Formats: sequence, structure tokens, C-alpha cells
Amino acid sequence: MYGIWLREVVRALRDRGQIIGGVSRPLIWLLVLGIGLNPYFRGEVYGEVRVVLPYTYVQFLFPAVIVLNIMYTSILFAVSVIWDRQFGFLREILVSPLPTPLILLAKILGGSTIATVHGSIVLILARFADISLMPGQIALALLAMFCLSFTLTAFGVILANRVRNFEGFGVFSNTLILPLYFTSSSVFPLDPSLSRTQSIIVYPEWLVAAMRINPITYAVDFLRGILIGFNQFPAHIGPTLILLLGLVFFQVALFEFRRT
Amino acid sequence: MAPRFHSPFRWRPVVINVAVVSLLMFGLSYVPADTSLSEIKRRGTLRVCIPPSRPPLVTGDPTYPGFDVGLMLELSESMGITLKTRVVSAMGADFNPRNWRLSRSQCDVIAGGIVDSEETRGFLQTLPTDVQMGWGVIRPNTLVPEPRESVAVLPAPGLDRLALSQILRAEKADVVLVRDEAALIAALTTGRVRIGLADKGIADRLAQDRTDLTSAWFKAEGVARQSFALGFWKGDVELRRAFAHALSDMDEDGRLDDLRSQYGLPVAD
Repeated sequence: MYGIWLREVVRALRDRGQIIGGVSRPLIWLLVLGIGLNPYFRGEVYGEVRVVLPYTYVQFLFPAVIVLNIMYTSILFAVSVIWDRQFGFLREILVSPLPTPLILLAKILGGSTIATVHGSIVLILARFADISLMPGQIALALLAMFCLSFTLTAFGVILANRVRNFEGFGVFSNTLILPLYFTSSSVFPLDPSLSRTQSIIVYPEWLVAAMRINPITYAVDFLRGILIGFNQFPAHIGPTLILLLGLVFFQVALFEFRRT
Repeated sequence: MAPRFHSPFRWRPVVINVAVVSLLMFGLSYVPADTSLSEIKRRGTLRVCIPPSRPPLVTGDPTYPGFDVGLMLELSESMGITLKTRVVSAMGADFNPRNWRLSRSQCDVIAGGIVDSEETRGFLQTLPTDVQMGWGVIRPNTLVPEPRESVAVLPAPGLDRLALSQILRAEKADVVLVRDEAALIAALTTGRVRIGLADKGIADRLAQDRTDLTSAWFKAEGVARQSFALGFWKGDVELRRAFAHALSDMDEDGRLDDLRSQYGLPVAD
């Protein structure tokens, strides 16, 4: 089991392409988009701002960028499942004495570790976002990131079991990751109940509904609670949902893995 | 080629990759987030909006300008820029900061009565100065309002007026809202009201000037003291960061404690 986990971790962290991907996303989203949109969210007259949040726009964006990095790494990790299936490695390990659930668990833990590393890379930019992190906050954030990574990696494995080639998976993941990210209140706060001023901003009903049923919304909210002390929703929803979905996705992934 | 997992150097590329990425990200975390600081350094002056009087934060006396003004002077001097204060009369007269009509074109920093609350942080970025203020009571004789007692209230922007009004309503006090310090003194000395409620700093100063009045903290359940801060415009991360550094330096070399004791503020432990 350790061997499978180690193989996944070493392989992914040796791959410069993956590492560059893990760096470029936070740079684009935080440095380019954060700096670029800052003038639109900054205060010009006391009492009049576009979005009334007790944080700057970059601070608001910061936890969402961590989730984005985790989403990409976790879900795209499932490519390795397709890879292993196509090149026969999966068949080799499935005939080993190790029980199937442990093989799957080791693979998912490997993917979760890599995704957590990619998520924690973003934490280094906390100074840029003007976020002071205490050791306890960092530890809690890493734990939350790992749980989210586990859930999303298990989800990625479910997707990989349904897709037979790399090209198909690429299209599938992009049409899934970006819509999930953009409808998760990651880039702009959607909840109009936040304040009176914000309630002036009117969002279409469908967008609000999409955000409310999107589990990533609550994952982003969970990390915001830990890193900047801001929750749009009751704080318990995020961790509960992540753990619950993690268990469900693992069971489904196991069912499909056995069938494969 | 499959990775050689039994090689003693199998972790080397991993360590190199992670180290390079971490160093790159660490370096990039020092990229300026905005132009707020560079713009002020280029201009050479820092514009600060202050109320006409909010003792001990702002006194209006150039020789004894107040804690916030003294702090801004020290901070701007340590950053090599000149301080330019702009007195905004609305800041001392209206509860609602929106009516102060402060804009970025008037000032870079707001001082002299910015409460460090979540509500404030919705509009400004704050830099706490560890100063606590609250409601003070000024009276000729009694200290706590008795039922149906007449009370004059001088508005103090930033202090919790909702909690105060709830208490006064519960006490069935006869409340008179006064516009300024002179009206408060007149209401007290003519016997129109028995006690006055105002910002503790103002209550102290008024009581200091007159021997027939005494001041104290207004102690009641639900009325908390407020922490004060310097206010920076939302998005001016670099300017706030530079001030936070300068404030930390002041705290370390003891200048902050000196300033606090100069204005009778409690020295931090």
C-alpha cells in the first residue's frame, strides 16, 4: 500500500509539467486577476464600496485559489488511473495479494497527498494577499485541504472509470472543473443576505441556485472560515459535506473499480 | 521511463522541484500588490483625515495633537514622508461615517476615531492601535442613571449607540440629544439634565476643565468598550503593510508605549 502511495507521489512531484501547472494557476488567479480587479473592489468613498466584505478582494479570492489548485490536481490525478489501465499496471497490482479497497485507498491517498502539496503551495502567497497565518490555522487548513483532496480524488477516479481515453478525460474535466469553480462563490460573493449594500446587487435566480447546490461553494467557504475567518454559510456545512461526500465517492469509486 | 523507486536518490528530483517552486512562490509573495505606497512615496506627503476633536486621539492642540496624530507623525517620519492633516468637521458630528463624505482624493488614511469592528472593515482596512474607547458619564452628582432620569447624550461616532439606546430605553431615561460639548455642559449646569453621556475621552477633558463635574466609565451590561484603529482604503494593501511594519518597530523600541503614556492611555503588557 505504501509502495502504491509512494509511486503516485514521487511520479507526480517529479513531473515538472504538473508542478508548473500547480504554480501557474495561483499566479494567474491571485497575482494577475487579484491585482487586475483590485481597483474595481477598492474603496473610493467611505461607506460606498461595491462589495461589503470585511476583507480585500485578494483575501476573498485566496482560499478559492487553493480550492482551484486542489480541484485540478485531484481530478486530473485520475488520468493516472487511465494511464495505469492502458499500460497494464492496474492489472498487475489488482492480482497482488493486497485487497482491492486498499489498492484504491493507496491510489486515492497518493492523489490526495499531491493535491494537498499543490494547495499548500498557494499558502506561500499568503503574504502577498496580506493574510497572517498562525501555525494552528495552517495545520487546520492542511487538514481541510487533505480531506477535500481525498473527496475530489475519489470523484476523479469515478470519472476515470467512465472514460476510456486521455482525450475524453481532458474535455470532461475542463467542462466540470471550471463551471464548478465559477459557480462556487469563489470569484465574487453571491450571497445577497451578507449586507444591505450587497443586497442591492441583484443576481439571477439560476446563478444563486447553482451556487447553493454546488458542493465546492461549501468547500471554499470552509477554507475561508479557516484562513480569513469569514463564512457565508453555517461553518459546519463545509466539513460535514466534504467528509460525507468523501465516504460516498470512495464507496462508488470502489464499486466501479471492482467492476473494472 | 518508470521512476527508480529503490534508488537512494529517488527523492532528489522531488525535493528540487518542491524547493524551486516554494522559493519562486516565496519570492513572488513580495511582489507589490498595488501602487498605494509607491504613489505616496513619489508624492512625498501623506494626507490624513481627522475630526476637529476626539480626545485623546485628536485634541486640536498643535503642541499636544493627540495620540492618533502623534502616531501618524511618528510613522510618516519613519517612512520618510511628510504628514498633512485635513480636519473634517463632519467626522465629529455624525454617527454615520457615510455622511462624513470622505473620499480617496481627500485623504490616504483616516484617523481619530475609527472603530476596529467588522462593520468598519467592510469599508476600510484597519490597523489596530490597541486604544480602547467607550461611553463615559459626566455628572454633577449621580453616576448611574436612575429610572426616568434625564440624560444628555453627545453623539460619539464609532461607539455602540444601539446598545446605549437600549439601556436608556430600559431605564426609561428621559434622553436629550445634544449637538456639541458646549450644549452638553449647558444642559448639565442649568439642571436640564442630571447626567451626560459622551465619549470617555471627551467626558474626561470636560471634567478636567470644570471642578463641578466628574467623569467615569459608563458601566452597564451590553455596553462594551471599542478598539480603535487607523483606517486605510480598501485595496491599499501596500500602504497598510508599510504602516504595520513601522508600528511594529515603534512597539519594539518603546516609542509606542511612550506615546501611550503621554496621552494617558494604558500601556500594553
